[in-house]
Amino acid sequence: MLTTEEVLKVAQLANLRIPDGELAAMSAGLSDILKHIGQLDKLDTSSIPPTSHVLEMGNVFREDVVTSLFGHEVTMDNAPAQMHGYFSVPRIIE
Amino acid sequence: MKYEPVIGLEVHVQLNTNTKIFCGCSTQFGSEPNAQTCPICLGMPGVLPALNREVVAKAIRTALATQCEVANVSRWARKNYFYPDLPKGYQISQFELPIAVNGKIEIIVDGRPKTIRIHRIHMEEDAGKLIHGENLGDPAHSYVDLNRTGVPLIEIVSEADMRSSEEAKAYLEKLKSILQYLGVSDCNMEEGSMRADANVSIRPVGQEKFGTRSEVKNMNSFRYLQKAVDYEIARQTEILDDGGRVVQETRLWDSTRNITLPMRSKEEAHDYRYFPEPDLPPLHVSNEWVEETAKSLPELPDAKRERFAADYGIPEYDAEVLTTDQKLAAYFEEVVKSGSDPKTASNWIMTEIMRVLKDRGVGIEQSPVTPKMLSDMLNMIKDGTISGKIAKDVFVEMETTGKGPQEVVREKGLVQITDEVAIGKQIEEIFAANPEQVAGYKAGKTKLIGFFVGEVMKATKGKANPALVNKILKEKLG
Amino acid sequence: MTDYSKETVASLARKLANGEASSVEIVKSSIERIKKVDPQVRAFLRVEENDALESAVMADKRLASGERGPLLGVPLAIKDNIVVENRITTCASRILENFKAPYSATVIKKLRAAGAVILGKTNMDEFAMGSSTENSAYGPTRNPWDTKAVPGGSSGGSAAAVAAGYCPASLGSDTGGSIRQPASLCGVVGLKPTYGRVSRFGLVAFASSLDQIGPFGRTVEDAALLMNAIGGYDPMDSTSVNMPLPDFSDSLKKDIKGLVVGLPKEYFIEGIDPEVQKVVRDAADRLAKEGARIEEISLPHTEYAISVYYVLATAEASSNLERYDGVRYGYRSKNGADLSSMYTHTRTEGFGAEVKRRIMLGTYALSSGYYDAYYLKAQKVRTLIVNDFKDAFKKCRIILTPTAPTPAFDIGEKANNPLQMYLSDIFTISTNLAGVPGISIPGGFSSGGRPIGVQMMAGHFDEDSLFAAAAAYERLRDTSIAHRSPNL
Repeated sequence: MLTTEEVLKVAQLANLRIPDGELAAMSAGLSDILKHIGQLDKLDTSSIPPTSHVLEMGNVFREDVVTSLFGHEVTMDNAPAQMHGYFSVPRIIE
Repeated sequence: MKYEPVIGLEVHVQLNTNTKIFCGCSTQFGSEPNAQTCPICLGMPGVLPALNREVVAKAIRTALATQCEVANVSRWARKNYFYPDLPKGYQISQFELPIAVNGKIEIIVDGRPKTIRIHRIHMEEDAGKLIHGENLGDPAHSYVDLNRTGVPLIEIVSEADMRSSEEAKAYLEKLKSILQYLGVSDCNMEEGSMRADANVSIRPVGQEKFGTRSEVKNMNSFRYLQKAVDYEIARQTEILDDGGRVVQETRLWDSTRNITLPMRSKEEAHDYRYFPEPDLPPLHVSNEWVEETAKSLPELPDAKRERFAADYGIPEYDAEVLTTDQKLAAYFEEVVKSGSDPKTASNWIMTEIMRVLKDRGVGIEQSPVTPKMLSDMLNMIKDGTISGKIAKDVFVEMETTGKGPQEVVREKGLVQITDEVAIGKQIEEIFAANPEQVAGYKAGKTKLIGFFVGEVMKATKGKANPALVNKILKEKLG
Repeated sequence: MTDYSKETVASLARKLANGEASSVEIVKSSIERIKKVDPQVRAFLRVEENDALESAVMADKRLASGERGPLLGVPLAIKDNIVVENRITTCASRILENFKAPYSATVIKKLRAAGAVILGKTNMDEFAMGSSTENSAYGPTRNPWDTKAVPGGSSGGSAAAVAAGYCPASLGSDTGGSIRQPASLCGVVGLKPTYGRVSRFGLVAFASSLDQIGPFGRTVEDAALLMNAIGGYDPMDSTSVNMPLPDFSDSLKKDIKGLVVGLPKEYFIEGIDPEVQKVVRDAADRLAKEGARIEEISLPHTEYAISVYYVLATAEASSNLERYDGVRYGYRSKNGADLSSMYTHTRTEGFGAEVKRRIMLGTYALSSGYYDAYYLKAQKVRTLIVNDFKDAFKKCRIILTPTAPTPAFDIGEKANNPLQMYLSDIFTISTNLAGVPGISIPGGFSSGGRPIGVQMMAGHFDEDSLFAAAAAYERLRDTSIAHRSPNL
């Protein structure tokens, strides 16, 4: 069902690398699951609204008052790489 | 082949709320990077967004001021893509059900009014800032500052109703004016609180179908926007004239070379996989909320412009200029309220005041000449204390010293000379010093009157009342 | 050292209240037992011994000043996808192996306010994706009843911690059954509250519209006491519901005469382990004898629940896990000279196989051209499932089902068959899709000595009925169940 090409496309969207040796297995595994999911097509849902939120919820608002006082040090505490106070990442190839 | 440009603008506006859209971080950030942040806007594991009510309030104001329909129910959506300035890997935005649709803005280009329709307005969060490492001496890296992530944005998408770069500029200026009147944003293109992307295409005149469009980004001033749009129109015209096809792509304006360049193709391959944001309930805006907001709107630019033209009897053009900036309009009204003639006030503001502001690079709030100072000066012209010409010098003095007109005139002894005897005496002295010109005038060279007027003004240091000088000269010369 | 391994939250609270034991004593005993037993069970990823003793000391001070509370001084374990400030939270993933959380989850703040002592963080399936805790990057947890067996998942560590007697209660999270199924497999009580009942702020998101934090306990009362402490509206969680929180322990002694209990026919089909069926039928009988009325009901779209779940949960997860990119925290690969390859290497190296599989599935379901066929379709079928429950709860107050189709399976038995693994969630998944509360109560044992649980569900925000029925069953069931302990 899912071609290796499609698998590669999805992997790229998700920023994952499926090694060549695993492509077939991933493709087969996903196809298996998708085949099972295909059972949903048996149901006529043309007049059924989708559920995005399982509970009816009213507006939830926060007032426009400053509450956060996190600061620079705590922000950078977990940074894998930083320089001059910035998070540093390898150059984006353009 | 004659082509017609078709232009639409997508404008992102930073709202000037105290805090970010989904967290309590301040939106006032200083120079230290990554200091105005918290687990929520940093996209840390386990965090959830909490919506700032004021963002919605400002969005509703904007929608009403642009005559949009405000949705009673709108939804949040996730726009998914990877970029270092996007901490969660998705932006919370609105997709299928935005807060407002179907609005319009009126513009005037070359004296002709035109309606530009607004397709939709939606709310979303801003991303952080990415700095390329070479700016900090490190070309192998890029640097990320997340202070700006989570700052609230509204995106205003126009229909492709504009047909020239002038119209695009006029639309953007009118939009900026409206937003400033509402007090929802600074709308500063150079600082990035207002950003515009242009969708530009051309089609043969008379053809209904739109041509292929390109999206132009990175124009951070009105001037660049206009240049970029013109460049794009020319570029596409050349392609079509050569028999080629325009490629649908995103292009960046290069302000050093004054051209647009295609963005790297990798940026193009975005499948945003929009889906409803599960962490935020649908937004309900009641009709009451909309009505309350409508009542609280200030007088907007178009209404003010019409009122100025009608009530103050000033030309449409003047009214347009004065009402572009709400504070400038207020300045004008204060001057007029103190008794000044509206047209005179308008002239002085549009010429001298605007010049001063431009030279100093400040807004009308920082004008060294206050409305009172200006109106007092205009009164002094009206009652003949000073001449219009002297007033210009008085103005400069007021501007540089901050002193009021009365003080300046007194200190510099600039009171207009209206004493006919004194003027007459002065004229006699000029005659005595210039017998050839007197003879020349009497011989028929009537143009020499200008010379005499000039000499009298020189001798009186401009203080003689020009009308009286003319009158007495004519009497004496016969 | 005194053995507190069979105490409940309630019984420890009593001992602490009347001075029979101090929190420090209890906590020391817990830590001692963990050191002795956990090398076999591997429930914990990290035991925070110093923190725990410090908290115990503070709890004892509060007790000494006269303060009393059901959790004051009581040790608990926390699933490692709930953040605790200044402590490592890994979600059992390599990609967060060194992540020190800069804030605490709302439930942690509440527990601390109540004086509970946090022993440490428990093992789980990576990012809560799994039904056996075999998907942990740090090795599987073993079922305390039979160390060849899985404890269930994804909250296997938290369930095992209670079953192994380290502490009387713990917190887990439940997205498709991740509290109830391990509770069943480990012979403890596990509750998934109504969606929105407990704040998700600080729970590392897997599937946002399905996730809930919930308690494990030795008894139904324990679960109620924990729910009292952790439940309630949180303005930081816009999906938490602004409803007053009742005292759930009020429901425990309620009479169940006349209570209508529904048995959904779709849950009693071929393929369920006969021993499991027997336990649940027996539960129905006992409730009936006490005055409950047993009705057959139908949840017609049950067979589609797994498909709906594996579209919606994976889609939401694929988005929720995009933040793990090596930029601001967590693991960053050393490979990758440019940004794009840094992203790819980090995520490929940092995520385990199951997580990657689900990200792929979810990304596909949301991608251009497939959104309508998969995501939108699944959302619509979800509506049908929600309606099934709405209709069912017009006919009954409680729904009674097995929790899991089988007792605990062996470690490695289902690990290579993802679809088989997914199908083992069949009885718990609909509960999350509908957002209704569900509880698993120990009901018996297989002939092999592995626990079998009984599941009950109730309507939205009807935890009262749930606790009443569960507590009643607990009183009515075979008394030997409560007295059995694992051989550790």
